[in-house]
Amino acid sequence: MKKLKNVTQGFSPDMSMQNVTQGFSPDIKPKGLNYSSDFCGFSNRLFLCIFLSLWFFILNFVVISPVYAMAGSNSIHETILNNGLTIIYKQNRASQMVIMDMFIKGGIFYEDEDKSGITNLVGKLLLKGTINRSAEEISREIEFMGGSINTEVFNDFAEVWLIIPKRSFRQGLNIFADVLKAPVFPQDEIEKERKVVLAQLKSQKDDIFTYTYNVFIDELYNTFPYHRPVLGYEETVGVITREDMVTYHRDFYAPNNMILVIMGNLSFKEVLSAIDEEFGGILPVARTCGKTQSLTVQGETFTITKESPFRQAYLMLGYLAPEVSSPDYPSMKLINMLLGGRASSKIYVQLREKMGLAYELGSFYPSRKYQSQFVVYIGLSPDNIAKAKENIIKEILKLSQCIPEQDLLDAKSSLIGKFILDHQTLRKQAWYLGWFEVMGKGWQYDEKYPKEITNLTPDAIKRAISTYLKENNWVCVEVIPATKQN
Amino acid sequence: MKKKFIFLFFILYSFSVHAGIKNVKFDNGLTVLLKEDHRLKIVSIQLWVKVGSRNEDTTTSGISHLIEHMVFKGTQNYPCEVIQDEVEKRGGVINAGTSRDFTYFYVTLPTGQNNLSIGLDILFQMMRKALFPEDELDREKFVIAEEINRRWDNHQSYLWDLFNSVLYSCHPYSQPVLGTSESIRHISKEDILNYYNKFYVPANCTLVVVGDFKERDIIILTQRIFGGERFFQPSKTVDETKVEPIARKNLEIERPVHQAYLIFGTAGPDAVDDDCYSMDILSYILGKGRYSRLYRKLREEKRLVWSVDCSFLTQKEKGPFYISIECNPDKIPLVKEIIFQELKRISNELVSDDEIKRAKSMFETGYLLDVETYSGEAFNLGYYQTIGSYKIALEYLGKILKVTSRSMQRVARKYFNPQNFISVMIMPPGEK
Repeated sequence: MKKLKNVTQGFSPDMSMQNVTQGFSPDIKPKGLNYSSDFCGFSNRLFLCIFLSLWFFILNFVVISPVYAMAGSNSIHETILNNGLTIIYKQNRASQMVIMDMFIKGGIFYEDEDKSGITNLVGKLLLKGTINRSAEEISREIEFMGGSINTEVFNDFAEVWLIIPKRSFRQGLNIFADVLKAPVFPQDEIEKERKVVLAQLKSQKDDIFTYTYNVFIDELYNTFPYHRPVLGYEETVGVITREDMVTYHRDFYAPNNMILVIMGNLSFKEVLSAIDEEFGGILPVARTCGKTQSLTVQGETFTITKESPFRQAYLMLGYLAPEVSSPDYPSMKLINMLLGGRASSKIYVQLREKMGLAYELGSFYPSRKYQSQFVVYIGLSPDNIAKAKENIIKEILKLSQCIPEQDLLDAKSSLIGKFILDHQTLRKQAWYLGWFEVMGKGWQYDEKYPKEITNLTPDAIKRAISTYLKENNWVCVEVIPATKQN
Repeated sequence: MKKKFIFLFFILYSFSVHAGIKNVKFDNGLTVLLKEDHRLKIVSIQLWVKVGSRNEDTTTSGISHLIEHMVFKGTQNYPCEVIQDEVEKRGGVINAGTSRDFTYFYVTLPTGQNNLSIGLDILFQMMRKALFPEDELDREKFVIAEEINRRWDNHQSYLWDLFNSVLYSCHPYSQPVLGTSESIRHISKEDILNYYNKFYVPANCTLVVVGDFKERDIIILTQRIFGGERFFQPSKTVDETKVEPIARKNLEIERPVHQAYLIFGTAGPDAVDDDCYSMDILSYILGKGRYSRLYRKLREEKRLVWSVDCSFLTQKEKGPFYISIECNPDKIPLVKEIIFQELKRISNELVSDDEIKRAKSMFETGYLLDVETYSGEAFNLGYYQTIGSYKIALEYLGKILKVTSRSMQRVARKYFNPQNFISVMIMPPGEK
């Protein structure tokens, strides 16, 4: 039945398939400013004791209504349980499947440098045994129902999702809640997964895009948390302890730090009642201000040449870009579409169609809660690196000087169209709602985003280019095959 | 006027309906498969051509893929820089893919004024009116050279090509779809025109449209756009060599990698053989999912591998059944031994009802997710129509649900002869 294995990627590689978290988001924070996160962790024991005492009082003496707040829009319901768990539900009458998608605030950004990779490791261990089920029982039960459960890690959050036939919704939710609430982190399973992650770290060096990107973010972000790779480093993954993982789980997998999106052909009443049964009894954790980070300051142009075992050379050239909460976020998304986010974009047409320099090239502007990046990437012959770099910068400069009205209109249609096409599956529909919510935009932004794109003016685009894509303000990484070094 | 249209189309096409799919056959040989679905304001249009690397010989290796690129380089009505822009400015996507048995082109667009006719017209122009300018051809050969380098740099792709070159040794399936730098360099414009005129004819193509449209509109548009083309008998495949089982063979290659990558497999049934269904379920029981036999044994119990997967690829001729592994090089001998034990076990012992139930449930979910999008559904129809019949796609799930432990045992005994398995592996230098 498998059909796609040996299909070439076509005329142009699928730009959405790069292993960089894409999506949508913005923000505007001048470099050098400090900021505070909205996430938590425990501030001190006294506060925790007071908080928990109050919570037990509520549990014991108040009849809990599962709903604190509810909003409805286009048959989307938002509910916050008493313990702080946010629930977003949308009925999809056409689907025979149900998706449950939990977003956990935190991600790479909140990892300690010496515990880099812990978010990923904790995610893997959720499926390796709970107080009620062994790892084998979790897989067996899910797969017998025809379901699929996975955990993923991003820069600003972690995600656990289960997709399952509607007929198995209740049983599926029970397992889903079990892995989120009650993992036991068995020591032998930790060691097993640690070895797998260490092997993955090795195999990442065998992939030219990941290899180049990891060097690139390290150079771009310097000490800023986003410089760390999702999997962590060999030296940190090797020393993360069970205790570290238990503490991480306690602090981050708290109901008031999570957002649950459910979508399928079920009644809201049925869904809400089941969620309350499974998650209503978990205690929240107290919040603190979180930690403060300094943003890196750019201002230098530099190039790194790395030896590599590859036949192709790879070039990444990028700038610091606005975060998701910035008013410049939609402008930057459109700039990405104009420059390298589609097959008829400026850089793609110039370097691929007119100059024939590469098969794989494009740009991305991933959404980040804090300082993001705009990156142009290209896999090419080492002999063409200088020419490619010169032309990338030239195209950016040209766009800053003149944006034809028709180009702007076409890019808007293209961006909005791709956004609509990307909403075809149940999983992606759920993902967008949860993702906008966890990034601080609110799930309603799923509707607002196309309108904001439509309303963008040439002046807004020009302003964003001049603010973020300044001349001599980029980082460039060149990975050149070892044989071409001398 | 309406009567006139009906009269006109009765002459020019015939149709049948099967499980909600309208199959329209135009008198020039073009097959059109239609499925209306108005849940989303999107339409997916795909043009499938029965041509791929199986139609090539060593001197033309890569020509199908080169043509797939070149038809984007300008047609009679759409200059190179316009083709993609016409679709993207309407909020759509356009791309293509080439494989062994087929080349396909797709346009997915939000429903909108003229979008349907533009999408169909672009695909028609690519199918019949491509210009193949010499300067663009020279430039595109460099682009493809980079694509070949990129594939070489990707260890999984490199290993997959290696596996097929061994498994199908004397058959065109053994050749890489991209061709080689050498073969691409020597393909001329004349070669391209001959090949294009031979295979890109209506009777060798299927147009699939799924989504938010009216059947009648599509039929009128298709007649208007494609109807001017005459019937040509498509050429026979250049090589009718059958895939033959080969003797057990191992190939190990050193590369600058950090761990060992292994593919282990054999040739299975072809697309029209009902053994495909048992083969699919066997692959799920052996290596799909965390509760599969090989995952539990190799990764969880023995801790020998980082990843294991098992698949069966349905294609026009015998499709590969294969297991792929990532592990430390020193674990390979034991890994192979366990795989052989499991293949022997599944041939000798009947699989339990529970395991079959799990495999079928997983397959069903995977199938439903595959056809969840309009483009996924169109792909499913086009794929099977091109290698057999679209009816295979419609009946696939039902036939999967009828697989029994006995049919699986029969199929396992037929195909899992250890003497017919080959293994290819890449490993770090010095590990051989």
